[in-house]
Amino acid sequence: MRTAVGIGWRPEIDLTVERLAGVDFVEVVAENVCVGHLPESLRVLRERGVEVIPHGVGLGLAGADRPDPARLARLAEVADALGSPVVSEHLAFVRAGGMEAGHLLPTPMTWDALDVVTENVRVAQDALPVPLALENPATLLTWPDNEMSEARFLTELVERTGVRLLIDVANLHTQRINHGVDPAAALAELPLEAVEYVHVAGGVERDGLWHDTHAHPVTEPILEVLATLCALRPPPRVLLERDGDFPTAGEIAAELAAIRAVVDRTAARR
Amino acid sequence: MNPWLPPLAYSVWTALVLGVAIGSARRGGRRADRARLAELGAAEYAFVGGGAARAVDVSILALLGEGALHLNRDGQVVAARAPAADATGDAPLRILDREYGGLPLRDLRTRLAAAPEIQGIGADLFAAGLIARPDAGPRRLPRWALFATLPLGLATAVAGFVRADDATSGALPWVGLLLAVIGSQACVAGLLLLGVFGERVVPTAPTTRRLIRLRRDEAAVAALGADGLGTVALWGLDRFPDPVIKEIFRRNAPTPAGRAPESTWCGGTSCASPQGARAGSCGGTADGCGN
Repeated sequence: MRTAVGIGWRPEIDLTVERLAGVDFVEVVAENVCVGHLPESLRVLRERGVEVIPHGVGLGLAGADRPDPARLARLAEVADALGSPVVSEHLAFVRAGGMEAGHLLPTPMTWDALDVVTENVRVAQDALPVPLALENPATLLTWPDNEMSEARFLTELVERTGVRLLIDVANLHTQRINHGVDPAAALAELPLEAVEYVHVAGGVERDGLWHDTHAHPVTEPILEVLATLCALRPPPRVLLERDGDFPTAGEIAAELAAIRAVVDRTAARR
Repeated sequence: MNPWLPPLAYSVWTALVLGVAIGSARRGGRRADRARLAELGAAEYAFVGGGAARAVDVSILALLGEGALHLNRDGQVVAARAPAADATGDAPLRILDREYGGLPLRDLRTRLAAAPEIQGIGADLFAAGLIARPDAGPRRLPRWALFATLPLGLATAVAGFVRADDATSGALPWVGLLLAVIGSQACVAGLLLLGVFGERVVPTAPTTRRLIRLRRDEAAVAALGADGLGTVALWGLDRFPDPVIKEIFRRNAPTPAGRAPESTWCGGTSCASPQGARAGSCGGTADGCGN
């Protein structure tokens, strides 16, 4: 099966995305889509047969509270409206005690936390019409009393719930720079057969920390992590994320071509 | 002498006088530098044909064509690269560079029309005599045209009356002479009125307009730019081949109220004039070129 290559659909570049060659699927930020009036561009892409995957940022599945039924219902509506094959969210918590963090905060990698997240994922799966994929986060800090690696945490979660995975290779690179986690070791530990799709994004290193900005070009080390993943098991889909400082259409096309080249090269070696 | 000769001569004389007078009024009294025409780029052709508004559109479309701008379906424009310091064509990027999150296309078009780069095109074309200043006031026909035609017309009518009366050659030639002279007088008066109230006298140099119309062929279009730039420069946005982009531009047309008052050159006449973008100093919508 040939790996599909896609790009994050953002309102600022909707027409540019529509006109890029070689885009097999797109991802939209679920919270930015109104079911009542879907953007014209998404309708055009859907008519062309391009898959649209809603990507949530607000469920907070790693929080102590159960996921908000209203948010889940809305996410389900978006998935229905877009005819999506899967929806995705982050392994992160975003609110607690009635306060919104405004960020994707790291999950404590403990057995107790795993139990809570497992139940939250099950609640979400019951409410969604399509499979749910969880994304490994990029973090600037970790909890001091972690009991397992992030890869182990995700593996346990997959085994307990059957949740799908969205592996962000840029986030694996972030964990390497910020926490010394080897991406190859993490990938070897993860159940790659559960991977629904892969994120690739650019970032920047400042003061020894990697910032996953989605507003900088994709760097070679990130593409190397992608190559490692593809060599272990080619994913069904790979997606380029770009959320700001949008480069020219030509530069975006070149980044997509670079991703395609990595995917095809590793596929040819297998 | 043939009794039709005086009115015929008078008609020819009137046509000559009015031709020269109207031509002079439309040029604003300046001589066009025809050699300069061969050096015009797409934005300058657009300016001559459709005013600052069309030059703005060509400038934005050129950057869209090279991928330096992202225009979305809601009409929001964001820059895809930084502007080069000395590139005239990067004027839209210089405006967007100061705006986080980009600008609505309508605002960008309005602000770009007032930018020095676009206003400078108008000033250069004016210096070359290819367009007239829009704020030069009503384009009156010269008074000498009035004196060169009206008294002579009256004299011709009187002479014709006297000759026809002397000859007692019947009523029909006499009436014909009178009608011919009155008709000519009416034409003179009508054209003078048009000149006095001036807005129908398009102040673009007519030679420039004519030469541009002659250049409206495939070779000219190709020479002025790829991706439909040439067609927009020569005909206007209606000819742009991309229907989606064209529709976005149509929905995000700058409104006359949004025009910067400090600008000299707008889509049409003076930006401060009552007719604003509607009339056509350099081919605004009033003369069908500013679409």
